[in-house]
Amino acid sequence: MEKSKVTLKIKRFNPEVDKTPHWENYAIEVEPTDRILDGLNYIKWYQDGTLSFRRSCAHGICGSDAMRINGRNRLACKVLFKEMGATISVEPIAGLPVLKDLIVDMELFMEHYRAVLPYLINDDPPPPTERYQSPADRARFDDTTKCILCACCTTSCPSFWAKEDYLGPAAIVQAHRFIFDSRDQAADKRLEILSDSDGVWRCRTIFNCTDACPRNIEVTRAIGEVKQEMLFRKM
Amino acid sequence: MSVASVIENAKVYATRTWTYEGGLGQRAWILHRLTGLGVFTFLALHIIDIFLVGFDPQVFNALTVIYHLPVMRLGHIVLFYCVIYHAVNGARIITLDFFPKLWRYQKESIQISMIVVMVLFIPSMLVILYEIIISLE
Repeated sequence: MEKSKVTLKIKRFNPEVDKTPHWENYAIEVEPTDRILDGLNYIKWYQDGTLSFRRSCAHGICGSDAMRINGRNRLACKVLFKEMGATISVEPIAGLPVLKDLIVDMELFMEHYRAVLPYLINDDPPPPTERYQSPADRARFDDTTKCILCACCTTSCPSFWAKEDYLGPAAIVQAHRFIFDSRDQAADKRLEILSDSDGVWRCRTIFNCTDACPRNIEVTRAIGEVKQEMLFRKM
Repeated sequence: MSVASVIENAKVYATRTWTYEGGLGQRAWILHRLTGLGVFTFLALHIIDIFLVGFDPQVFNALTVIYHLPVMRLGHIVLFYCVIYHAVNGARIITLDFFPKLWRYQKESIQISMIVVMVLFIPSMLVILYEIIISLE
C-alpha cells in the first residue's frame, strides 16, 4: 500500500518547562490503514522520545489512549489515517488536569465512578448454584456492560466542563449497568446518589457522549432511562 | 473565587464548547443557551422598565419611546426567534427525556424542530417587518 505524508499537530505540555500548552507539528509517512496510535508510536520511537501518551492493549479494549483527535474524543487505536485528512490535530481529553502532553489525571473521573457503587450488591446468602438471571433480564442492561472507562464520554460533555463535580455520563452508565441488573439490591441507593444536583439531572441531552463513545454505547438513552426510573419509582 | 479566575474559567469553557467537534446536538444546545440569554435579557429590561413606573412615570414614558424606535423593533424579531427556538427546542429535549428510546431519532428531532421554528418564526417576522415599514412611511 502506498504511503502518504501527513502532519500530526500535537498539543504538548511539560509541567517542568511550559507555563501553558503549545502545538508542535510532526511530519510522518503513513499507510492509509495505519491508526493514529501507530503515528504517535512512530513519532515517539523515531522522532521525539519526549512525547508522552497512554496506550496499552492498542485494540480498543483497555480505553487508555482516549484523546481528542481532530476536535473530537476518540481512541487513537481505533481511528485510521484515511478517515482523518492530511493534517490531524491531537490533544488531551478536556476537563481533566493535564499531567504531560496527552496524559491526563484520571483520578476525578475514577472518583465519580466509585461514587455510584459500581459492583453487585446482594445481601442474600449465595445460592448453591449461580444467581439465576433470565436472558431477557440480562438483555435489559447489556448495552451498558460494554463500557471500558476510557472517559471519552465524560470529557466530551459540556455539563462536565462547566462543573467537574457532575458525575458525568460514564459514571451514570456504570450505575445503569447495576440499577437494571435483576440480581442487584442497591438500585435505590444508587438512584439516591444520582438524584443529587450533580447527578443525572445535570445532563442536558446534548448527545456528545453518545457520539464520542468508541464502544457505541447508547449513553444518552441510558441516562434517560435512569432519569425515568428515578421519576417513576418515586411515583 | 476571584473575578479573574471566574473570567478565566468562562474563557476556557467557551473555548472548549466552541472548538469541540460535537454533532448537531451540541449546536442545538449552544443555540438553546444563546436564545435563553436573549430571553433573559429582554425579561431583565422588562422588569427594569416596569419598576420605573413606580419610580417615576415620566422616566418610564421617555424610555417607552425607545421601544418604538425601528432599531428596537428589529430587536423584537430577534426576541421572537429567541422565544420560539427556546420553547420548541426545550419541548424536543423534554420529549427525548421522557422517551429515551427515541435517541436514535435525535438528528431528525432537531431537523423537525427547526422546521417548526421556521413555520412559527417567519410569519411573525413578516408581520413585525411590515409594521416597521408602515411606521416609517
